[in-house]
Amino acid sequence: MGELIVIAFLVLALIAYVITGGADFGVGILELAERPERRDELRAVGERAIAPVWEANHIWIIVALVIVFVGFPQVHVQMTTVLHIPLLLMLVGIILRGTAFTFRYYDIGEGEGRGPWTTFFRGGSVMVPMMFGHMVAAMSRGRFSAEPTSVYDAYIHPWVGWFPFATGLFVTALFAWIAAVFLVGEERAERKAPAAARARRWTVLLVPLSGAVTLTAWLEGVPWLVDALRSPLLYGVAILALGSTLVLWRLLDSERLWTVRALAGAVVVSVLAGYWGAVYPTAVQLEGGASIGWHEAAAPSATMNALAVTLIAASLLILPGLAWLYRLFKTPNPEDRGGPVQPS
Amino acid sequence: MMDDFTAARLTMATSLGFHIILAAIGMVMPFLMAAAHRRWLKTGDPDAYRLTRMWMRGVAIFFATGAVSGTALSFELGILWPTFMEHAGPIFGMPFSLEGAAFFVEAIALGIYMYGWKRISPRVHWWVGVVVGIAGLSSGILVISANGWMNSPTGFTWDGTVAHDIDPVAALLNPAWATQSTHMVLASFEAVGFAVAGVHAYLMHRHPMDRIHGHGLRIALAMGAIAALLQPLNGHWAAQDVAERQPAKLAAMEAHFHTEANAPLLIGGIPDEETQSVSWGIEVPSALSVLAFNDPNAEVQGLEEFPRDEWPPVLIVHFAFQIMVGIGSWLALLGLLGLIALRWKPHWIKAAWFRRSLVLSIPLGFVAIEAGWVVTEVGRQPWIIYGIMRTQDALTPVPGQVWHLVAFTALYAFIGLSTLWMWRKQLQNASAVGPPSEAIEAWARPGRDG
Repeated sequence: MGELIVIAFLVLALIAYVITGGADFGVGILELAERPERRDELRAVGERAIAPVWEANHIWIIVALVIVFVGFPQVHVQMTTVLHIPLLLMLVGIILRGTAFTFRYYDIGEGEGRGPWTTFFRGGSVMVPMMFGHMVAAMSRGRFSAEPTSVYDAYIHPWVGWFPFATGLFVTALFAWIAAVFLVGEERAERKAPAAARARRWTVLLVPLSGAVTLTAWLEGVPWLVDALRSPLLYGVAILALGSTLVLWRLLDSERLWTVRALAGAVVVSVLAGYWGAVYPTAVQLEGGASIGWHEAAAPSATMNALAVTLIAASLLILPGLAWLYRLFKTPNPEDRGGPVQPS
Repeated sequence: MMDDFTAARLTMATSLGFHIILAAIGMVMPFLMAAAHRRWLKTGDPDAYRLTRMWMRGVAIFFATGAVSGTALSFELGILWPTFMEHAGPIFGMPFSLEGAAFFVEAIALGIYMYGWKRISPRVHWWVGVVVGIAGLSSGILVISANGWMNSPTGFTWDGTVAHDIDPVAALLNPAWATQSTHMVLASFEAVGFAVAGVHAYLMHRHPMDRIHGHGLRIALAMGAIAALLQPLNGHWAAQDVAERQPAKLAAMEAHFHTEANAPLLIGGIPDEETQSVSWGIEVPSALSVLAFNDPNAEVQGLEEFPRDEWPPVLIVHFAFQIMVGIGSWLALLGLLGLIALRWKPHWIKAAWFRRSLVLSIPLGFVAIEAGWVVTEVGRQPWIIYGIMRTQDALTPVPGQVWHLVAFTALYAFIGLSTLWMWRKQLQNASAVGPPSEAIEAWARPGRDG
């Protein structure tokens, strides 16, 4: 029982991280993709949107990490050794981006000193989802070598390839898309239409990228793909994702903030659920067909039960807090519209 | 080229050494902020409001840096020491999962506090500020509990390769958690209290007309002084605990090579591991026996009792311990003078000697924290889990760790200097922090004028 609760929390934490943390990274990606003359304006809107909530949004990755290292130590060992390099690159991105955001925000004096922070903020915002995508793909593609013969075999080969790269691009675009959708609601009335158009452009981009992920997975002979393509689950989530996207397309510039957010959330949930459903119960697919499963890798039941109780108790404390935070800052407040955001 | 083991240990030391400063600031600054805030709510003094705003910015900047370095650190444990985490994770996971919760609460509360002015009731708003501090303090205590477990592993049985009979609660409440975490909490209040007091003493001298610095100095000094006076008592308790649990660590701290009763306390001195002797030290007769066991006749184990390959590096641990105790003594003295100044001799606050002492002490508390951390971490060597697993055996198999070290040292140096630079700019601009606007006043004090 404890084990299933822990796995459920792991999936929830990952979903929450992709939706909320993803939206924060997405703001940086959007800035990078925006036309130069529009970037300052976008920056102001993005800062106002994420400043009160981003610190909380990024704790989900720590929750997920702690669940993995406490509950599934063998999976954690595989991640930290075989995926050593992308993990470190992701950390560099997290560190640079987080500090750069704050420094840019608090830097006194317009223009001056903001250059490097802006670069780090945007660069980090791309680096993290790229590496995140690489790692997610690497864990399922079956190139973890049980008996590596070289450093390349052991620590590079498992995560370098077209499928991980396509997944990295897809995750990056997904994050940008989430941000683009959420930002429509943060814009002033006269800017809503162009913001919605931007979100639609990112929606369109996701289509070929999800095709690229599937195609590269097929070309690489990723072991779970064939079964997944035969399973009804995949078609269920695909229909949910497509349906939500279509409704979202129509509602983007409406005033129905929470409906839009829920639909975007539904898309993310279906993408992650589809992937999780396709690879579960495998945690790490090894070369040659063997694998490490979540249930085999699970810590002893005393640990799992204690972890489950802690997670439930903690969520009773945190979820109301989060709800309050979002209710305060993510519902329309006429005072906030337009104008530069005040940190205090 | 440096070997992977040394590089990995230095990377860990750099990451933790960087984060520990931000963690200390993150634990204490919210309380300073809440103290100033409360004063403003009670008295309506606009300078107390300005001070609150200024400190709030400090909290925001240091929290952001501390949050990302803490995130990195939680990954680094497994990146550098995968074998350690593989075995330790399921046992000492509880403090980490609880810490995650506390950290979450802190981030939520900080968001609500910083952006919640005029949006929620002023009373609730103040309490949210206090919650930031309490959550930060809880995070610190829980992480130290995890470290305490590495020093005094409990809550499992070990068959030489695998742990059995895991009891996560017993691991959380390991024998070292209370002494270590109280010592760290007091050290944080001491270091941050004196650092903030020193900064405001300097600024008060530079900007004598701005009353904000006098307020800031007094609040921070009171906090630092009380912690500094309590710390030696706590340190005595911690030393007794170490004498009991990790006699080799205590022996290294004191460069105590030979077992003896009426053991002397060593002040200064350069230990030589080869000859097992100390040159140039001053010995206080029987004082080590008293420190460790409250009994001048007690026998204190020397390093000779332990196999040579289980000795921590004596020179480093002894030096670090001397630095910590030396600074702690100085700050306790300064704290005593500070309390006298606050209570009976207000003119001391503006006297040049007192100001200079405070300004000189700005970095000292942090130096003591680093030194104390070296004592506990290097003093635990060669073990990563005391008596169970050697640090060497936990090392990642991934080669090229020196590049990891170089990259992260450069990254932390850059981030650290940027944080200081950013904070300096904020301080230079302190006088520009305005009094409460009418809207803020109307929100905080409905039904009163201006």
